[in-house]
Amino acid sequence: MVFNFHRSIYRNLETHNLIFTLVKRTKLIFIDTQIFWLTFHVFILVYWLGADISVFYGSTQLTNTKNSIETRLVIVKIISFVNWFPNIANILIFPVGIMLLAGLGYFTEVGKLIYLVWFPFLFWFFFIAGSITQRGTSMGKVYLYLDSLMRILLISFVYIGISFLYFSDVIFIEDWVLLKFYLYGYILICGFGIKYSYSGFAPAFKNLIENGPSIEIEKKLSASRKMVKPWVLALWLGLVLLSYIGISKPDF
Amino acid sequence: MDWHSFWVLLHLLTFVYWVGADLGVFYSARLVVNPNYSFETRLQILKLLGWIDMIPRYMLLLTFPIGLTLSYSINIGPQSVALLLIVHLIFVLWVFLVFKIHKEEGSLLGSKLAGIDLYLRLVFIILLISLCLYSIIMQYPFKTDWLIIKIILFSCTIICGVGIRITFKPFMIAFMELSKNGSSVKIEDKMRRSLNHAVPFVIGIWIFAGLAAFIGLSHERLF
Repeated sequence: MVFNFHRSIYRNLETHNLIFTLVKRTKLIFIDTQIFWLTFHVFILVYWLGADISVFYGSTQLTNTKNSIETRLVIVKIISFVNWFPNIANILIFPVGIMLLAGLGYFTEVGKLIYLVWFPFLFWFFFIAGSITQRGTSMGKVYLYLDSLMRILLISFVYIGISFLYFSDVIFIEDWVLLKFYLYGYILICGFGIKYSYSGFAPAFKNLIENGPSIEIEKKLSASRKMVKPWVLALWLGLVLLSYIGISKPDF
Repeated sequence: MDWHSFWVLLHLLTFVYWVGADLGVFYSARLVVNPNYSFETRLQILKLLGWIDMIPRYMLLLTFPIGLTLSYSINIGPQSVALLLIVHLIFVLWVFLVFKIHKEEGSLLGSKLAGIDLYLRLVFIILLISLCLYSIIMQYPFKTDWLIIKIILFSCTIICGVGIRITFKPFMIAFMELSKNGSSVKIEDKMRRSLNHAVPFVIGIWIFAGLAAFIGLSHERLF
């Protein structure tokens, strides 16, 4: 009993010490950029994959013929809002991942210039934001074109540029990192698939609002959603695999 | 197959679908209280919200047995496979209960099951906090400080969940009134107020779950 009492006092003291070290170390955490980037990286996944489920389910309700036009317009509003998060996550995941790799000792050859990786992604954000907010206008088309161009450049960089760096040993890249780059390229391709298989949806939906529901319009909406489904599932699978590779860091 | 990584992935995915899916629920709820929309639209959005909301509900429950399995695999939690299996079984049954509550919503059976679920949550909160306090003193069943803090934070998310359930109750009553008597300033006010009361608890869940994730990611450097 006495022994237990002493032990509990000792544990209490330890708890106080724990709180003290926690406060002391919290200051260190703020300067530990690696933890910052890691947390950021995880939250990107949260607001990409997690938010996507609302977008996906919402889109199934857009083609539900039982829903009135007003209901469908409100669902569009929900999807449009939530979809900002996967869109932004799509942009941020690459530069944040590069920052994480830099923290692991990668890209020491380029030094502080590594921060330049953010520049193209800031432009990409601008293009995507423009293509969403200016949708339907001629300026929106320009932004959409620039967005597509950016995606093509990134896919090319991932598959050609990174492969070159890996196989020519210009920069040391471990196998799992290369696999992550390739998976990122695959996800971008899926994004392309979503974009183009869904391109028929907006005109059909506009037609629905202007002329009311008809069998032909509903068929078009439904067909568009069916076409996009495999791409969405493939993208989710890619993200899960990307996470698994990041967690397990397999050695081939 | 690296089993530890597999469980880490599952643990991560429960967090992803818990916090990420909550975003759609949070935004949709704001549209349900908009009186400019017809009742039919508001009802459909409420149904959509209800469907999406099931995902965070399942994930909140599943994250615990998965986390416990992880703690077993790195030897910082209870070292009993039998216990783990029992915990997994209990939580699978609990997920089924939550699924059934959603299916039976509005019926007498549904409200009875919801009552059972609420009691289970209260018992679970008490059990978790007691185990954490015991672990602080005896270093068992949870053997590290960071795990204890994580579980306390997790308990806080469940407390917030119970808070949402309590503060959201007047909303559902007001919505039923709306369906019977149509819109009125009183009903709209009641719904808006109920939603506003739930907001701090929703934000609480995000903060506590976010902090728990942060500790999980940074414990090697922090502790």
